[in-house]
Amino acid sequence: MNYVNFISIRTLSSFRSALLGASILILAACGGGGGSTAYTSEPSNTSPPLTENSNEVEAEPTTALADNPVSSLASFDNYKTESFAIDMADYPMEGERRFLKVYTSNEVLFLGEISATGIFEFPLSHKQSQTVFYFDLFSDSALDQTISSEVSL
Amino acid sequence: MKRFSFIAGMMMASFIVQSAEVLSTRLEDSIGSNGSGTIDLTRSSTGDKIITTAELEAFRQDNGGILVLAVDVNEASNGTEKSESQGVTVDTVTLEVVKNGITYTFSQFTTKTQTSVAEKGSTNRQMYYTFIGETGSSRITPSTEGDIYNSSFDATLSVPVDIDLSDATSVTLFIELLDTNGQLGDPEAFYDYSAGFEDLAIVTYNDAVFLDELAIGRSAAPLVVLSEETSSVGSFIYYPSSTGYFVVGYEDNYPVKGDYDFNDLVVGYQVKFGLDLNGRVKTIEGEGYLVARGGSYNHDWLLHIDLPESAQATGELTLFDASNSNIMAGYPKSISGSGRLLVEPYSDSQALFSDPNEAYVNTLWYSDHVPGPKFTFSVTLDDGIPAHRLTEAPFDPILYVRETGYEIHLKDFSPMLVRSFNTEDGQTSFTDTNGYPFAMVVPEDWLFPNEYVDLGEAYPNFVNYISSNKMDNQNWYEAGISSGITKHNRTKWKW
Repeated sequence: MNYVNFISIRTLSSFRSALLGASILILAACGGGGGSTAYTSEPSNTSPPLTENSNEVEAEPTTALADNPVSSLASFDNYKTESFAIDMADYPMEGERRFLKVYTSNEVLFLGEISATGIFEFPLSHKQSQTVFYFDLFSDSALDQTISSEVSL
Repeated sequence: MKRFSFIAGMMMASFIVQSAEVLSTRLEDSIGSNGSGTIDLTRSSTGDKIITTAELEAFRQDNGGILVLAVDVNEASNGTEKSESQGVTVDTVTLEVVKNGITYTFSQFTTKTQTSVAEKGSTNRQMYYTFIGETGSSRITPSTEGDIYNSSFDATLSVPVDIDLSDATSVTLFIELLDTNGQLGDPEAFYDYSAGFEDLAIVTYNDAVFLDELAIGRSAAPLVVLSEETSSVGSFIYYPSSTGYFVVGYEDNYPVKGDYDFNDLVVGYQVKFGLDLNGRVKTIEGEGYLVARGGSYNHDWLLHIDLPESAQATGELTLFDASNSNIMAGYPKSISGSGRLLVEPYSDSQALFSDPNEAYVNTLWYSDHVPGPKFTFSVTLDDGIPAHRLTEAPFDPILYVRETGYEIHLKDFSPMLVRSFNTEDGQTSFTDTNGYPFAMVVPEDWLFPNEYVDLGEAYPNFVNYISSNKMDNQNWYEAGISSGITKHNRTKWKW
């Protein structure tokens, strides 16, 4: 992986502007941090061939990012943040303390004691594909059954 | 409360505490892996193995009329239970004292922590006392005498006893841990008993106070309810979850378009916000690992979370060596922030993370796995802050490339490091000429592409996910072509 050290361009500020353009060109040619041109110039043992593309003709469409420019407005988020809120007035209980657990089928997103009054809310971050969540509300009293419910966001 | 009530334990003011010459002593019996223990308090684990009832009475008086035992919590590190924090739930504790042919039974007890969990077979939660601890530590008590010194005892158990034990003929403690409904996940999964044995010691007042003040393992344990005081943190929001990690992958050739393998540096990280009872953020904690380094450049990696302008954060950052799990030299380091939290877990990625046989780490399809250093950080905020006023998850993970002097962020973030040249050079956008980002956060299910493999070729659904504005193929990262993606999955990089 033939790496060219460009640290000097940051210590010679008077030459920075002139060198920057050159450095970009050279970095691209060398693959720098894994630059785009390196894919075709590196030894073949750096990666096994991809089974789907090994014999494709050049003109066929591919799923490579290099062949599929996207809009400058495109979003690449794989998580979404939404507000999870629960109004304690909707869940009267005997106990003095309230505990809340918010979770998916296999992951806990919130757990702990919350105020027994008012509306409790927090920003919940989840995978784009996750739309169904569950919560358990319980108290410190043996007289209260755990309230379990499902929420779709 | 179930099966017990709070005794004002400290009600034993009527006792005259005598200056007793006793030393904390490890007991021979322990709580077995079945969660049950029959503990003969007159049998020690060493020496002549005899603890006289006169000595037991001295322990009782030293603690103001209470027998106090220390517990060494030994649990399997799975789920959110880990070496730094693990717990068990106490179901019942009964002390039987036989004296002059009469059996006295004491069934009231306290520990310093409680939680609300459901018993196996039930989904209804109730309050129980707990033992919380950790593995692998060595208690350095003020006194070097006694069995707590240099031990790994964690929590304490207090049993008020209002009779003189000096002429007892037997003193036996029966402990039953609760078999929690682990199928519910946390808190039940955390507070189950799974490994055992939990060792016990009878302890002096000073050693009991020492252990209690350490509050071992509590900060990382879920749903901790303190028995005697109100905790400043009552709950946690987990990002992305209590056991999950965000994985961020970078193209470090910025601002030049890279090869789209998004493995020039790969970091797994998670963050949790500790909330007070008003629902405001009081603490921020994080943990993460260096996963792969597929770029030739040298990097620093930082995590930035914006706070309100007036907010102050202070705490510690710790780095752990992957080879031996030990804290690395120079750590923990104090960290602080005003108006923002900027944590720099990894400086000089090449020095921190290298493969003795390869130029890259964990990105070549044939290379053996090299575990990366782990970081943890924890800060306390001077005032509680509504969670929505902090940067949204997955926050702002920053890669600083030492050779180019540029910082790289997720799309839509702005440069902010004093050391970088982005602003000076007008490099403030973080998408390339094809419209793609230089950094992307993906769920941990994602296996980053092998060296030089375009992300779109490794994951054929990705382009459609983006072009459909994230409506289609939302789980694109679960459908990689095996020959193009790494074998170094989470089970390898999280240690």
